[in-house]
Amino acid sequence: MAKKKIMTVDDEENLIELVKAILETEGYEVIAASNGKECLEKLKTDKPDLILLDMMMPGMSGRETCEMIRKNPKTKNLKVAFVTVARFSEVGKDILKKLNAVDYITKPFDNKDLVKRVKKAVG
Amino acid sequence: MDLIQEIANNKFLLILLEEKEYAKKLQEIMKSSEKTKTKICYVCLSKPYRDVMEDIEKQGFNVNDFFFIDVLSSHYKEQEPVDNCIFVSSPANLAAVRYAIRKAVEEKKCSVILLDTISTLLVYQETSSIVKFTHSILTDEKQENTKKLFIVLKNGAVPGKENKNLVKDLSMFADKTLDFK
Repeated sequence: MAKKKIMTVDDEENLIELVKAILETEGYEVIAASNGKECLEKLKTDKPDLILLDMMMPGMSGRETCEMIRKNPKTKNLKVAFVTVARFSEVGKDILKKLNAVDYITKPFDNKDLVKRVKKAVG
Repeated sequence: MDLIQEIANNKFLLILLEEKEYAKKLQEIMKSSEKTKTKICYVCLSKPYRDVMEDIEKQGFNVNDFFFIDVLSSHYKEQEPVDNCIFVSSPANLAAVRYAIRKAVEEKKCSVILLDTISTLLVYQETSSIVKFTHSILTDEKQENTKKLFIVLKNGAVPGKENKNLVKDLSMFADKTLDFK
């Protein structure tokens, strides 16, 4: 059976490495992008089962990146989970819902919890 | 829109103003903030604090109810220390602005932070740095009980897409966004 593919998008290289290490151990294929622009570029050729998207990145924010993903007919149905240190207001949480995020994971995360939530998201 | 009520009910308000209404609305915001009967930390990002203080006095406010953070004056000329203002070397130095706000809250007992105008920072910083700066103020435990009123000029120094993105990203932290049309 083909491995499920996860894309992690974060400007912190250490975090990308951590997510890779955790999820690859669990049998996932992990691809990475260090910003929103690179994520959108990679989505032209890759179709991940889940995108783990950081919210506060230089250049395009996670919110803007997700809006672009939803606008593109080829990527609009991809599953996106936000991974962030940010504490959003109720208004912010509503905005996230409108972006059809499957989950909202706060940093720092517990490794086991991350795996559990990724499993739940990709099915 | 009852501003006094909005300020009373929300911890972080993002206030969007048109340039033509800016002065009038700012006065209303200050009147409403003054009614909280606490000291206001006025972060002057668009004008030197002496100009802001002059305006405030002309409008009949008690200048002793304000403590200022000035990011412009020191940028051009070294400033002598004063009791009612902290001078920050440059508007690009967001870490120093953050530290000055913390000092105003801790030492001067300010309980309202009025940032006028956060959209000006787009001249010096990219959106993500301004969003991180805002988030760090909002999550600082020492400032947990302060009211934060951040003003955005809709057609500010950097209008268009960047300004809109800043508003969208900051709205995600705001308890409410007040859009004065």
